[in-house]
Amino acid sequence: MAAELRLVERSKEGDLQAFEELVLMYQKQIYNLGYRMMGNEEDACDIAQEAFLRAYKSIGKFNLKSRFGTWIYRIAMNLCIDELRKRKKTKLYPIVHNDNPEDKQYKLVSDAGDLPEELVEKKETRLKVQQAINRLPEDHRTMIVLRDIQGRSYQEIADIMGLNLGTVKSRISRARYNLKEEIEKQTGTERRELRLKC
Amino acid sequence: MGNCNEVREQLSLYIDGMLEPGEAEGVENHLKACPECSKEVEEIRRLIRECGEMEEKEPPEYLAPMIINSIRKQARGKNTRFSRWLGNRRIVSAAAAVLLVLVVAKGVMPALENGFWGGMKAANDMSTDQTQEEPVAEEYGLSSQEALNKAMAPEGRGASSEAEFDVAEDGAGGQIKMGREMFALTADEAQPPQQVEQKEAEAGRKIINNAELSLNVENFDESFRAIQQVVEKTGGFIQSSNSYVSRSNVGEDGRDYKEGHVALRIPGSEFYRALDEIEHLGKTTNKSVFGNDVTKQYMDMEARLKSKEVQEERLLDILSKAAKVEDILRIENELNRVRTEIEMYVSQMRDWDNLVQYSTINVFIREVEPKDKQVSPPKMGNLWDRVKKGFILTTNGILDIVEALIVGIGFALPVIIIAGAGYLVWRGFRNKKSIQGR
Repeated sequence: MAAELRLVERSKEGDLQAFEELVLMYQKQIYNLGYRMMGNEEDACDIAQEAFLRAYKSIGKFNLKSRFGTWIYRIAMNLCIDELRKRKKTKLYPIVHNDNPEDKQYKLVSDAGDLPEELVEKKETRLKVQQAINRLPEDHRTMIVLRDIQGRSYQEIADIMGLNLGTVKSRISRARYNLKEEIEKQTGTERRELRLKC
Repeated sequence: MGNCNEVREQLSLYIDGMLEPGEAEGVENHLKACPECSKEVEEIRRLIRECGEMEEKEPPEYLAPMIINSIRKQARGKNTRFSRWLGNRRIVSAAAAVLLVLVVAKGVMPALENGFWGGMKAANDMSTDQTQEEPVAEEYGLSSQEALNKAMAPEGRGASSEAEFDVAEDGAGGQIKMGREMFALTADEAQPPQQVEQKEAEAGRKIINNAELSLNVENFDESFRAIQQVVEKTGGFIQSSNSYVSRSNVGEDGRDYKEGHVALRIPGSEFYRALDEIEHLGKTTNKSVFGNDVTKQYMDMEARLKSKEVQEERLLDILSKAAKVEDILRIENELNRVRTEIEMYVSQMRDWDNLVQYSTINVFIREVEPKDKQVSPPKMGNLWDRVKKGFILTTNGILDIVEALIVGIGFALPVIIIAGAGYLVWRGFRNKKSIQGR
């Protein structure tokens, strides 16, 4: 933490190298955040790049009392939400999920300890969950990504999103129910489709 | 079981341990009693577990360099966005700039030509100027160096050219004889021998003489009159002439100097004499003489003409004897063809005759200040006038340019509007795409 603080301080003074170290420290987390929010790798890269660029531009305004991680998360999260809203509004760029890695990983790890059938099942449910997440509205998706995928504490989430704790609590609760419903809906349609095929 | 809904709202927090101790106890008690809610809890737990099991994805290797690169770019220039835009579209910008300049220039040029920098005020609409004059002189100077040398020799020119004419006459005689032999072959019957002999006497050598003179004179009008006199004396004529006030050649006293070009046609025999006289009207800066001997071509054509004439006569003879319409038509056709050819030859020969009979002299006259003749004291008297004149001239020029620039903006406005609209559209498009993908 102390090391990070020093890096941030140096960055604020205009030390490019210090900021680059911060980038290396956080790029994976931001990339993953972008990936879970946007649903594909390309958008994740763009979000990460844009988030760090914005952070660099406004590092001077960064308040040293807060954590850099929270701050960069917030920037990235806002970018994701903006972008998702923009796409929903214009309907020009439907999000494509066909490059979901859970599909690809199957072949790579199939000789690992798990039994194949179990593994397939696991992959399938995981894919289902990811697809359901992608269908959630932004505010709910945010909560699932931060809380359940990345395991952030309620307080952290409140800080990142600039919400009070109560709002975060109720929102996470609603987001989970929403997700559950989405998955059930999906399973339902799948079953119907299956029945139709038979 | 009435508080199932209430409990369900708390289940999520209960799982995360975010409930107040009292609330958590209540939920726990309810769950023990309510299997449905217990099932619900399990489902949510499983869901959370599924989410938590999603692995962290490794970012692609290029991500970090890409981010750092963009940040460095940002660090290099504060107004990066604009410079990036410029950088990416340097060619487009350059093209746009050139277009703009061209469009503005289109508006500005006429003003420049008419008002300020224009080299000269043409007295009549004529395009000849010094720059055009130079290459011509050079070309001829090179090609007819020999002729020039001969003509330049101040004395003995008459003698030398006379001698040459002697030789020429001999040569021509030989050629004529040869020509007659040719006639003899083709046109013997039709052509009485005396007639040919007569032609031979007339012929002489067919030489088309041309000359160019560039003169610097002190008084244009006087020189022009002198040239006219020479032309009258030699029995020639002035084919064309023009004069204009030179703007590039302004004297110290602000006097206008004239320039001009006269094309003279001088009877062949008087050519050298006229050239000599005109040459002495001023300082000759360039002189070139070139002769084109068309004797052989002329003779050839004459021979061909004769043979065609014979053919024509024969055709006429046949025509008078022909009875069948078909034959008549065919003969007339042929006759027509022959006559066209005859006309062509005659016209070409007439042209040559004309050119040989009248040599052409192109004189370029340029009025200059006689600096070497007299010391001109600085004329202080009209100094103020000249200052005033200069001031007005320059001011007018500047006003012309300003006006033209404003007009030029008018010219450019549509382009600017279109370009601006294009830029806005492009920017909007880019913003939309900025996150979508590279």
